[in-house]
Amino acid sequence: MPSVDDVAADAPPPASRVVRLGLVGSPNSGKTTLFNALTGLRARVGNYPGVTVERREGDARIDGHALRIIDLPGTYSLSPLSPDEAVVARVVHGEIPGVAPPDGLVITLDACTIERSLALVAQALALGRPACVVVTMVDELRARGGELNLARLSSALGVPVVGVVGHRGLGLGELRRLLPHPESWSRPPVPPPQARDDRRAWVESVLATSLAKRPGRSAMTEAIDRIVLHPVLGTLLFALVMVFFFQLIFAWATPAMDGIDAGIAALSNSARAVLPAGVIADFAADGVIAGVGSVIVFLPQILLLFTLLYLLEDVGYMARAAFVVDRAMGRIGLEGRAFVALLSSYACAVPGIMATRTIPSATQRLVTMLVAPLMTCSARLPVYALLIGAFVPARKVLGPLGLQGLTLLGLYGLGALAAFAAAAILGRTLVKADAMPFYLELPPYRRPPAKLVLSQVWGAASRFLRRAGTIILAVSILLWGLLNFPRSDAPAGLDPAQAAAYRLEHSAGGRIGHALEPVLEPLGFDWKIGIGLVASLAAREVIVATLAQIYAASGDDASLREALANDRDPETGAKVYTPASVAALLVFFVFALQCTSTIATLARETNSWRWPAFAFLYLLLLAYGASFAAHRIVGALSA
Amino acid sequence: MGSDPKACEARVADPSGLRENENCFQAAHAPLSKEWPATVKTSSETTLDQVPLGESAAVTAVRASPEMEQRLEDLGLVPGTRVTVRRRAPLGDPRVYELRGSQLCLRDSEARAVRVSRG
Repeated sequence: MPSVDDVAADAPPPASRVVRLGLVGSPNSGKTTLFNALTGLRARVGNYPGVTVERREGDARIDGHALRIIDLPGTYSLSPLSPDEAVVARVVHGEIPGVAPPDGLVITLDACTIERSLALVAQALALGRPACVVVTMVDELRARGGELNLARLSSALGVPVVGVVGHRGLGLGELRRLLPHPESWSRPPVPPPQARDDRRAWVESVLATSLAKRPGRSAMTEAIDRIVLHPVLGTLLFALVMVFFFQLIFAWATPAMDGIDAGIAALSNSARAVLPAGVIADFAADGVIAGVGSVIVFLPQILLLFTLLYLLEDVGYMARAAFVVDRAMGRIGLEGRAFVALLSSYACAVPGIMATRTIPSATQRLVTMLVAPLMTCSARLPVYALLIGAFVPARKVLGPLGLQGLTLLGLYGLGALAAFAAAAILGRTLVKADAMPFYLELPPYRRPPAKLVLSQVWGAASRFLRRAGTIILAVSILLWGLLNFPRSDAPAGLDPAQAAAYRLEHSAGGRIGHALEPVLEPLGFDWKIGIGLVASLAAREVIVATLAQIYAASGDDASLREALANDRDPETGAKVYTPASVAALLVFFVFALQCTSTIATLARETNSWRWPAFAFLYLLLLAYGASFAAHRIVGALSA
Repeated sequence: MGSDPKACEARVADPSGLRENENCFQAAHAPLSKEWPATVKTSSETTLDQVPLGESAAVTAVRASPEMEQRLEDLGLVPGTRVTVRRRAPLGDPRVYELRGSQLCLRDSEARAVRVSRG
């Protein structure tokens, strides 16, 4: 708390003693770097009520004054076109219930793009609130031969102007002295004109007095772009980056994921050792620890993925990658930035859906989110591995290519094709196009501060754990209950594994499996696969563990494969897993949205249950239809 | 509004080129089209997507839906602004334009809304 005499001397706004400052600026104007420099990375992240726009606020303490810095989304204009931009306008106008309007606006202005950015400054100053302008990248401007007179800019704008070099801390001292006292900032005698033509004239006159020399092109950016944006080399580099991405997700994340898996298993075992055997031990080990563990296991992938994503974004490559692939993505009605989201979805749809935030158009964002679950995520891999390992012969087909590998490749291809087709159809039919045109600013390459990247990665990871984690926990407990209750006593004479299988069959989940049989019969699935499918609604890979329980297999994959291959219908004696039913099951997993984390993330990002419900249903119908077709086609071929 | 964007693309490919392209744009924005036939076009006036790589032109007007006009102006495409075509994507579209100190990437479909004067 600030001392009493400080407060009295400054006459702060009556509502609170904390000075609230809103950071306004266009994308890439150094706003986030400034936010971090002022608040020391301690951001509180949430959502604005009623919209999906991220709300970032941080506290700063300067000379005993408490400051609340509100980092508003980057915007080119206060006449909003996107939900993010609308939030900026509404916060600044004080129109969001429960969010007090800021006492002062801090407008960040990239010195190198001042010619474009002054229009936003004009709009912000016209609001009539206390405002100051922070000119960023002044060192870059100088290096590029530009000259900007800050004193003249200040008198032309009529508000305080401070030049800073955020990552080196230059100018921050002056800014800190200024910030606690918005009520004493100088104000323009007349606000900048708002009519379009008048505003243009105002911008030109401010430029004429302050910008002595325009900056030239950045030599480094030009040199790098000669390669990165070269029609051939740029495409090659793009392909290399994508290969690197895959390698990161599949190969380099695996050791850490295996480690976490082992840790969770150990924890689960020690819970069993400590707790008395029975329902409570089962609940702790299988319900809580295994359920939460099934989320935490994705953490290494998410950390690596987000580190790379933010690094590429902050360096300036992401905009170039979007530029290189935009035309191809345009064919399916999406834009370049959607590619990154879809690619991330190969690891996991959760970070993929979160990556759609960089897309300015709400329509494009929604379509990308709805098709992202079709990209083959890593959770499908254990299922594919089990079924392909058990039922697809390890035969060489084309030189070094085996039939098993080709099947896996085919499943990946099918998922990607389905995503593209769904995007093309949804974009044209279901989702109404918004007015947002396609545009992409290519910022100069900049060395991103490591702290900035790390703070973004940490923010994304902790949000993933907290939000998806709570829902996963609830659903795992529910599923555990379904698979364990009502508890029935197995008949005497069964070994423990068989007894467990008996109890599973007679649980609520087992009964659901039996009840589902008529629906699943056209796909060639029996009640056991039915239970597996019910359990896999929590997370796809759970079906492997569930089938292992049902077949009372002794843990390792090989014995489960054997059990599946030898399973016969007790009445007819026919094999349960025929080529047709295995194909149908694989295809079902290509399409269906069996993942509570994804559904929870969709609900959060679209701020509704309507879209996740729609995604779940359309993907379920697609899965059922495609699975039925696969069953028929493979059945006819193998007959 | 009443105009099929596919038909537009087909006409852009038409060798008769620029004129067809203009008509097409006009059709896609019917409410604005009334003023247009009255405008006498000089030979140096064209749309931004028609300016060859490496050359530059000055913006004379932006003609699109109100939202798009506003956004293109927010991005710096206001009358009088000098725009240079810097790069093109591997498949020719989109392209990178340099204006007012920034590098902006636009698809041809958006650049078509920007009327420019060359020379």
